[in-house]
Amino acid sequence: MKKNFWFLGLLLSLVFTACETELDDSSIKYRKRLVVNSFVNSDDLFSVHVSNTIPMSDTVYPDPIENATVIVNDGSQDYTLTYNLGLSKYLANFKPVAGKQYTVRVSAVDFVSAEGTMTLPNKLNSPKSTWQDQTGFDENGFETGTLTCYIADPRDERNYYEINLYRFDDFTQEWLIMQPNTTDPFLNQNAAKTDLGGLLIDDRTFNGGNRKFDFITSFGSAGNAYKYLVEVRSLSDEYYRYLQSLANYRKTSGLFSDPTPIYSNITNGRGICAGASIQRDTIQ
Amino acid sequence: MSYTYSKTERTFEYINDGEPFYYRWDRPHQFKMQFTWQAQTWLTINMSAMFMSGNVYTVPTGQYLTTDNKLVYDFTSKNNYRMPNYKRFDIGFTKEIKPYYNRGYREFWGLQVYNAFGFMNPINARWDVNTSGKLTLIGTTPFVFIPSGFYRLEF
Repeated sequence: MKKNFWFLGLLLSLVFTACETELDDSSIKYRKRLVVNSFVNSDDLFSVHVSNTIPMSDTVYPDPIENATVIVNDGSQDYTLTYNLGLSKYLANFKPVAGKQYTVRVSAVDFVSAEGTMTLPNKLNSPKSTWQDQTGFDENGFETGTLTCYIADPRDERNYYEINLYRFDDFTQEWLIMQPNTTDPFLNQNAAKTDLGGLLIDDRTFNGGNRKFDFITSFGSAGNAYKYLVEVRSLSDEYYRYLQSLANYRKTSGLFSDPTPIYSNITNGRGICAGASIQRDTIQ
Repeated sequence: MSYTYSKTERTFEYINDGEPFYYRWDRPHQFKMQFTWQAQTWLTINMSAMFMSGNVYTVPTGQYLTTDNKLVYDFTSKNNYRMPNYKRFDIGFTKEIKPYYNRGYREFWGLQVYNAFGFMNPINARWDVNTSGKLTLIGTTPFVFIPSGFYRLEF
């Protein structure tokens, strides 16, 4: 009988053992392409980061390409960007304007030229965010507060938002991102989380309306000063897709899941050309 | 015995830059054989063999930096890698219990072994460093062979 159990055990272990084999990778060809990352907002100068794709075997980060030609067209005029060594980016001498479409063209020696287009979303005109102390208790009996942010959503268009919450740290004297804690069913069911710790939403349930979002702040989360920063970014369609795919890319794991490629709107290259209009409210 | 040639593609606006790509379970060539042998009135032996093209999977071809300075995989296209050919041989038997009794119902039991030869049919592929330190593509085959048994009552 004992022998039979050993045999059964061996059989079951063979059944449930996954085997790994080396596969022929000769059909997989690495393509060296330009990587153009241009994420702009109306508060900062137009900037473009240019690098290239690297083979799978490389473990060192690719260096920025410093000798590329980067041209930005705003629909009426071409602007040639100059390389800023300190920032490792190509900088323009103008700030992007909300509602305008921009085309970024990048060419470099040994690379096929790459191109991307984006439109900067209009600025939000939402009511200022607020914070209220002593609005509830956590599971340990400590008092919690409520941080409220508002989105005044423009009518008749699909809009995308990223909400980032920060608290001021007394010790390090810097803003630290807070993980959003909310009981809002819309956020809990529909919002995707970004790498940074923000929330990504679209306006399909409140198109054209004013939407209020409440977040719970834990006891003492903002030190003695109780200083919070609420950042609502109105994202371009491309940037929303990019962040969504990045969130899905990070989530993908396991034996039976398919990898998720990251969204790119760069023709003949990789990366993203997108923009956001940012509304920041500081509460203290 | 059967042979099938098929081609399945998908096209979505926001996937694979809007270009058509092979469906995950696309297998252009499928050759299948089925053999059933009634060895005795109470014993049936069945075997099946199949040889098919491998399905497709998305394998990274390079890496690049994101806007937040993190390295991510670059995929030239969706489902860009054809897995190795799929091979499988199944064998089993069905035995009738008390075949010569007229009881108004019939009972059977049997055993089957799925992929009896233990062919490796990986379902996914990932890059990993092998024992000699070289970056290689590794395929994972879960459940190499699966034995099973059954009991059937016919009335």
